[in-house]
Amino acid sequence: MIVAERKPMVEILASIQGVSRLLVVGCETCVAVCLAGGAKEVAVLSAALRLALRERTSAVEILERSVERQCEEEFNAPLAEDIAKVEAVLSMACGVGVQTLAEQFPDAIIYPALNTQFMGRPEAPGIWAERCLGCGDCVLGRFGGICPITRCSKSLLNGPCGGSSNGRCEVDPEHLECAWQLIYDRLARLGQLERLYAIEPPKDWRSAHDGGPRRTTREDLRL
Amino acid sequence: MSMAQRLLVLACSRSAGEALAALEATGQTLPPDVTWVNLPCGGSVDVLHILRALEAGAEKVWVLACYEGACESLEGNRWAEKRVQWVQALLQEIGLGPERVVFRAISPTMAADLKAWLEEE
Amino acid sequence: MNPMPGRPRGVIVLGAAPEALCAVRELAALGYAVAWLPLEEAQAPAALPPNVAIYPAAELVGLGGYAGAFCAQVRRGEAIECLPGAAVLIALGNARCYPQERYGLPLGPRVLTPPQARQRLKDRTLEALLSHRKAHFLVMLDWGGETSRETAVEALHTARALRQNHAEVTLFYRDLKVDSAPLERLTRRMREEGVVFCRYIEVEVRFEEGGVHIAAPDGLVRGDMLILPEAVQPHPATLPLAALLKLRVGKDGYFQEVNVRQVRPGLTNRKGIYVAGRCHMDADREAALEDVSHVVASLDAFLHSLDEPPSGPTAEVERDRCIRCLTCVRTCPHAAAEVVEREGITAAYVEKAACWGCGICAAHCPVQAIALKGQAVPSWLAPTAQGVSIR
Repeated sequence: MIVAERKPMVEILASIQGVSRLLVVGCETCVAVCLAGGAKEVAVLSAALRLALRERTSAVEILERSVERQCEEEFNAPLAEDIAKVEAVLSMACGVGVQTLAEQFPDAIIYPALNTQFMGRPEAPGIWAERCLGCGDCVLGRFGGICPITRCSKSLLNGPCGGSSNGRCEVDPEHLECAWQLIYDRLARLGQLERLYAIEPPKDWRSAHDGGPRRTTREDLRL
Repeated sequence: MSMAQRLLVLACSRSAGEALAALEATGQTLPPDVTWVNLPCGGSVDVLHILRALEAGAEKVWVLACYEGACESLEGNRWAEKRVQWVQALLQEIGLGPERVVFRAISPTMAADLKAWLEEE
Repeated sequence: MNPMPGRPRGVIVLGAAPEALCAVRELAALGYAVAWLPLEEAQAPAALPPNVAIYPAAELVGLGGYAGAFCAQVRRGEAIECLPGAAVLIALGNARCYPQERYGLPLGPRVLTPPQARQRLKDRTLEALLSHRKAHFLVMLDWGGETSRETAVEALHTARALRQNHAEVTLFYRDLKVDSAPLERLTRRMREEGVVFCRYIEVEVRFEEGGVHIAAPDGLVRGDMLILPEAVQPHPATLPLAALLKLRVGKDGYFQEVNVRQVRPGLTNRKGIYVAGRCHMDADREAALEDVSHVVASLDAFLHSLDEPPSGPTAEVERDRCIRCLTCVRTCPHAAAEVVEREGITAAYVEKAACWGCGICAAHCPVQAIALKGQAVPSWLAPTAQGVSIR
């Protein structure tokens, strides 16, 4: 899923300075699952904003909404009426949702309330960790199902480096496992250690964002 | 909104609720500016309960739950404390005093302590 | 006594410890149909009441259902069979080991465990030592850490047996809790019979001149043999069974009993599942069997409560709002929440019979799809959103 976390309140408050009618819109897909932007977080943020702004002379009106998937215009369409009523919209979706609202409602001022972080999974309750960088050319089959690009701090394809110690990465030994230790252990378990004799050529990053904004097409879904 | 302005108590009924009942059994009543809400367990204290109370004008919110190891739902009390900490951090961020929300562990036999806390407040 | 009018309820008993047999007998006497899964090779008892079915070679692969209607999924040969039961009682017992690291001493000709000493008394291999002169046995409790209740009592009985075979016996102890009538009787008789009790804080044990020397507070004690009690540890099946049944295990590795108000002995984190005896407590055999009686009574009271209308709040999921994030499943301490397909919708579902109404799930739900039914908070405090969701 796409993992995000709420921006610092100071930043959110600065962005909506002077706004007296506000719409807070959550998204009930990825960011709800990682407890950053679902209906609950919309209610919490709105309550916090009302508390923060209560000393203001003019009353602040906050509408709370939440949609199924903010990156889909159809789900956002019912928001039109509310958006027309407010001076600004705080989106609690990932960056994709924020931009969808901005594209869909070109006259509305949309601010992000979340920082979109990475594609990841819950490692333990309350902890989410990155697993995929979206490089556009998946190598997982060659590395025992562990992504060296995402999980190695240096994205080494011919690892490990000298910073691997007792299975931990020197960049953050407390939290980071050495991806190359994981790859070695998994390949050993699968009886595929000989894979490690192959020298990986430099990666062609054109399939990643380095090749510019990406799009993908399914011709059979187009008329 | 209808609540006393000074203090809202979100109470685990199994510990704090019992302590209050014991206090009331001796003929004592809560001060008029204190609102008491019994919840089945500290675990059902929602960050939104606390925020709603502050929004409704409560000066302070207390969350009272069982001592460590005494929760019938194993960790309801720890969740309650974590949620209080979460709200405290949020209040700090928006420039309100985190001391407006307080977590306290209590047991059913602590009526006297409860009385003292209420008098101190 | 029939526990309930009409169809008698069943109870599933897991484990092969003496506590299990005791529980089976007590439950059967109360009129419950008992399905007994020893889960390990065990000698089947000679006679069991007719309402007990024993499944000696059965492997437990899962537990479906909930309090009042559990179903033990059991592999028998190729087939998976479902054994119904309204409640589950676990009596695994514990395991033994000789704690060599704690004592820093291997077993050998001069170092025995109490069971070894008993065995040698029985097969008369200590005869030479006992007859040629006054043999002196040194029984050492609490050395390098407190001896468990069970093995300490076993050591006391061994000390007494050696004394009754005309040996001199000195029993060293540091923290012997004589807190039950049988134990008080036992220690009094041992003193009367001539076992010497010696309390110590620090001792030094040396092997020299063909004997054992213990430097104790009262001077040097010389003996022929050192008897060191075994240690107990959790039964090896504890963790796998806990994982299978979603039960909590304490830091000590034993099943965690959730009985904070002291009114529900043996209750675990899951409604209807109970633990009894040494799989959750340090107890000698008598105390363990006494615990079984308390737990059976507690389980019996629970099964009777099923006949009454349920009281107290329970969590209810608005299933068409659920986003299947699994937060409730992961945070419910009572394993009452699961994501399942029901009535064509795959979503979180909280089983009322398994729910304790703690509200942990409701307070966590990121889309506010769970509410505690039967729990009223003032409307101005309600955590519901001020607006509506568009779905």
